[in-house]
Amino acid sequence: MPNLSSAILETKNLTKKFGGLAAVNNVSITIEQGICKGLIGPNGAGKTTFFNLICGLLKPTGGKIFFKGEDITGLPPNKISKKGISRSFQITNVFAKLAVLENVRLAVQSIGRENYNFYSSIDRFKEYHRRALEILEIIGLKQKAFYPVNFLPHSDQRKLEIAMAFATKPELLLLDEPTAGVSMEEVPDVVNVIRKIKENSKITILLVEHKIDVIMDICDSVMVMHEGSVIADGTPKEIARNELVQKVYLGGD
Amino acid sequence: MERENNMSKIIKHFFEALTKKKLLLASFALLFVFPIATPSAYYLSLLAEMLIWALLAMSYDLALGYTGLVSFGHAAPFGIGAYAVALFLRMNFPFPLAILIALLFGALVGLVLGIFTFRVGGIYYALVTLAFAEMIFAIFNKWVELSGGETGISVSRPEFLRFDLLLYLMFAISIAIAIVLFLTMLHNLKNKNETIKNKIAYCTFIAVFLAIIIYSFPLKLNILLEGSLMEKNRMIMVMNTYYFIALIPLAICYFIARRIVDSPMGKIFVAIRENEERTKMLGYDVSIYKLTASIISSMFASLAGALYTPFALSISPYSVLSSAIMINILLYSILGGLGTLVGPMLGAGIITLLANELTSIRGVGEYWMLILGIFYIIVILFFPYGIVITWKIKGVSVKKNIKKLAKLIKTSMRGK
Repeated sequence: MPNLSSAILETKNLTKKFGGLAAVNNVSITIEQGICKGLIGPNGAGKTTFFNLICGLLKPTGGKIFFKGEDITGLPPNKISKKGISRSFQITNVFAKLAVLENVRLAVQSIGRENYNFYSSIDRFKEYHRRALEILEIIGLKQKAFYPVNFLPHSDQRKLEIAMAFATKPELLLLDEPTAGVSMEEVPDVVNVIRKIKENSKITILLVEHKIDVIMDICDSVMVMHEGSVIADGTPKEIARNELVQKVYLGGD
Repeated sequence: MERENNMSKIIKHFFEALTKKKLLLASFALLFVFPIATPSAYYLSLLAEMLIWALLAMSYDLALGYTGLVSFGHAAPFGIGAYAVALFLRMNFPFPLAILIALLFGALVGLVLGIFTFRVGGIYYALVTLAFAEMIFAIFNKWVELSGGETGISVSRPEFLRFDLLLYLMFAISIAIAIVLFLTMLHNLKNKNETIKNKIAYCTFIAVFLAIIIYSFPLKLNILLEGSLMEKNRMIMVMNTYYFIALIPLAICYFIARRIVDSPMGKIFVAIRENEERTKMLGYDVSIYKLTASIISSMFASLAGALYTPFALSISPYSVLSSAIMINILLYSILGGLGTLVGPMLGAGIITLLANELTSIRGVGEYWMLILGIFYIIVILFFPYGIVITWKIKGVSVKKNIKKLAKLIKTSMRGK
């Protein structure tokens, strides 16, 4: 039994079956508060499905999810988000036609108390504006605050994706391949954004990534998924030496 | 460099002023001033009709343009509102109370339309709402005791539409607004910070204004002074009052709607339109916002219906509940520009005006639908995003062109 006080997220025998295929199979993990955990695995290992289960986009076919000791299994996404779990998407999923600032402000606004206010102008809520600009400053997009998002280069859109997940002040941040589709030269930029977020708050991060250097660079511990199950869990160095992991990645028997 | 900045600033302000507040305030004020200038009952009633359709189109914009709810059932709240007022007026309820009841029914219809959004979205929602509206239409059409069936039911004009004192009061308000508008324009003309372009616009306005006042104000005043004692004045007086009864709710609803779309909640509506899944992931309970948008939009629509009844005096399921109304609403919105509030109102005004004027031209009148059809195609070809939005985009490019020109002149002057 893991120590509940330090565990922020815990899953017990979490299972998701699509027909006969178990995309996530009996996964029981514990993530401690305040760490940055990497989640790696070959394509089709079930990483994104695992994310979708935690944030409520999919309902598990079996098992339980606990967030800070509280059962959140089967809650709708907006309720889970309110509890303090936020995620970014593998395929950029933002408000493409709105301005960058507007995107972040919508995220900031979501934790405010004025969401049912339909009579006073948004301009009166200077706090939202200030906080949104603050976040844009952190991710280095302040200069482009008034650009429509679809005018931004891809790497900037990825940064915005992370920023929006971060702007709802979550305790647990799920990042689904933050560097997907970003060119090699721009990867450090995106990684820096994650690092800054880590330094700026005592947030717990769960990070899915294909680029092993990124994982080795910023993660405190790593777990490996393969065919729906977690096959290894440890520090980056341990994982790099793990024979089973090497076998899974290199194919072979 | 500095000069270029100034230039772009001035242009920016000009467009801001034009597109945001001044133009809109001026047009509302002009609508208030209009009765002073017209001694004709026909034009008053035509404009009143335009105002009702404008209110209906604007209400639809809150659902489709801002929240992205593709409802094809918007004729339902309109027709229910119209019928509610008709039935309660026949039961001798006072008109304002009948309007309140119509609003209540409108909210109820909005609730039902909103509940559909919980289960279906996009084109499926459009079909479900269309089916719902057709169902309401069928019920009213068959339930002859309630609706009068194909012949419909008629109401007598509400008592206070015949109340002359009200008209005199409104007329006094019109004159006051006209004077304020006139003085504002004069003041703006004296303002040294105004651009030449603005000044020319103000001068034109003042000239036209004076011409109208001198030409038709005496006529109108004469009608008013003679009062409703003269039978020939009867219609003008009634239409004049009715015009205000349509204009004031439209003005109020517009400003309420504007506040809603600028509020935190309105921003969430737009977020839902742009990307519903992400809005949900940000922690917003999307279904509540969609429900709210649907209810507000339906209430405005039912108000439009409520105002339509005392104007038309006779309504039938075909005239207020049929899908032809829905098609008209879509035309108004798409022609004017979705998600602008002003656009659909403008679209409604233009189409109603054209349809009425075309039919009254001898020789052309029979082909009015053909002409209107060609007009739609031309407008859609040249204003693909609707009149207001395309005009705004064009405005941006005009600004850029002027900037480029300024740069060119500057460099050529430096060359010398």
